[in-house]
Amino acid sequence: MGETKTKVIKEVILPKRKLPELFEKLLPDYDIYGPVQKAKEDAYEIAPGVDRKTLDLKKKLRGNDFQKVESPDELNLEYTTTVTSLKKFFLPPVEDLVKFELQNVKLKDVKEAEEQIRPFILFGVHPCDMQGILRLDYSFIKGNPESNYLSKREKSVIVGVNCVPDEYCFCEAVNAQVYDEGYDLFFTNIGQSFYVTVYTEKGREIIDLVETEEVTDTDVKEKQKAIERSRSIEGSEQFKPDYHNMPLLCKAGDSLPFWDEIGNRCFSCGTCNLVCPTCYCFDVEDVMNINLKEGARKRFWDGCQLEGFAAVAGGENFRASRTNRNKHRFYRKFLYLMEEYQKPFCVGCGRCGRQCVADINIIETSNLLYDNVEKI
Amino acid sequence: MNKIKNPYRPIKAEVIDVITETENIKTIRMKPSEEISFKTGQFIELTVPGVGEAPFTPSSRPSIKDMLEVSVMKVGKVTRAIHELKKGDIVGIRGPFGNGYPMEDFKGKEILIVGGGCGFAPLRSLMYEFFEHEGEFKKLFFRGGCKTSKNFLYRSELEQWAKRKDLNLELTVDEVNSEWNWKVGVVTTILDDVDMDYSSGIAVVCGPPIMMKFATKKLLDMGFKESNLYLSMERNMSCGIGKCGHCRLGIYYTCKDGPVFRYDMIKDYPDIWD
Repeated sequence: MGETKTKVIKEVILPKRKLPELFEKLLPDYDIYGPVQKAKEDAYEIAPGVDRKTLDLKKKLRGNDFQKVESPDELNLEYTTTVTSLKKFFLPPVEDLVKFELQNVKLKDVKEAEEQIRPFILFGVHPCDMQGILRLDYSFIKGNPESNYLSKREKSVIVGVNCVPDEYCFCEAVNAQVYDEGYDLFFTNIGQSFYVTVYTEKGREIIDLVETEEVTDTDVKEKQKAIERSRSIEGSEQFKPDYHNMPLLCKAGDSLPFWDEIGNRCFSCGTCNLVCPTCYCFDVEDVMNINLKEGARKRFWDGCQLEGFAAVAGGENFRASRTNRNKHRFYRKFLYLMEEYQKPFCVGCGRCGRQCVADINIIETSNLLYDNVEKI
Repeated sequence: MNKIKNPYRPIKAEVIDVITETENIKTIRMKPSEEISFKTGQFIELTVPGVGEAPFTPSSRPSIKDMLEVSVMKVGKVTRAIHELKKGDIVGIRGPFGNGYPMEDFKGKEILIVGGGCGFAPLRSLMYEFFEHEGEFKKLFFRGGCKTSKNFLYRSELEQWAKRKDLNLELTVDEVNSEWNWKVGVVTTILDDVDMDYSSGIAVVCGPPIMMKFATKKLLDMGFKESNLYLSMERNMSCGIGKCGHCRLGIYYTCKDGPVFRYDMIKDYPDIWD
């Protein structure tokens, strides 16, 4: 886990009719989570009297979410993306880090939160989200490994599936359409079957639970076609810069006026932080139970776009303007962490752009940066 | 995988004394349940049971392992609760975190220490280190400023330091509202008479962001090298281990890579000052 897994152990064909049997055999040992369509048309309720046709529903999310499932019938494996990312499985929105016991103002005892979770399978993970998880691995394991993150990550098994991209997807432009890194198994949808690539021993144990078929030349061709269909060409072609140059572009374009135009549009709602697979900033707060005797140190998701994120108690706010906060999020993806990790911390999933109420998106911002730096 | 220690778990520490320093600053002396070894300039997270935690750089001697002190200004939720602490209360401590002052790099050098307000707290610990290793540093200058003479942190201790032969000390306040025999004006106005070779000397600055900004500008104008300027960057350090993101400063986390930074490391990043 955490390390690159490029070696293919074996490749087999799994007929789709075998999936229920596979799930049945897995359920005693694993919780299974996969993409489930929550709403048929869009994820938003329309107020009475509002004509649907007048609304731009094109970009509204097709309402998928990673949910716990009991059978493969519940899954929507031909999906574009989920509204929220998979970070919630490793970094829940609220989480106990330690527990306290108090006696008046005296700290009496500190205990581990010790939440026991069952091994779980994330079934149907797209390449962008796999790369997102690998970015989290880097941040939470490198330097000071974090026990709270690791305890969940170690319980996870990841089964990838190829994507059905839309115009917001630009994974290819940021080199995040990677099929051979991080997965235990990868399922390529080739019609009546899945072309299964096995990357880990854990993956082999799982796929060996059911009878599979040998790969034929036709299957290989079908797989190549499926992968070709999954390329995020529409969005990726819109993205003008070469991603390698992003740190240089950020530095060169730091004082350009277009940043203010974007900042002025932003509502500081933090939705981009919420849905992003690689936005992992959080706050730590001590919360007492109503009896005031016990409490817990809790971790909450936080967002760098929220006004008080960089404020200190003395009254200073190091990023008081929306422009600076927007720039900060962008730099975190394409400059700060990228210089450290050598890869962008944006995986091109397009979630922030799809969800932004002000229509700010990374493709547009990157292009504005690129065009304006060119003019200098 | 080996069991990794939970980094959010504090150890217990008993409050053994509470010293009222000024109208809004108190020093809390604590005895940790396990020995804590910190380098001057590193910080700890102090938990007030039931309220929360906040970061402070100890102001006490790093060589003392079974006691530490923090001087705390009452500004927010946790610091208000810290001001309510009494002898015998049990608090929590995590840390130490970050990098302290690189004492080895200071050896044999002329050093100017510029402090402002509550910034004296980390600097007191640093001064103790200098005094304990007397003779290892070429020359020491201390220039300290505060808003008012009445609320001058560690004033009597500083007046004692003024008598030391190994230290050249000057103090100033913006406003005189009690007996005062030192200068009047902001701290940048008392730097000109520092008699040292600026181009090879070290300057250490710790204080509120606005003071740090003007002091840095002044020191650069005087001829100090960017790589010889050591700044204590104030940020909302929460997790302490370079994860939570609040204290990010360019490619750095203030908690992990700071809070002391050389100016040349951070000068090109946005938002370094308020």
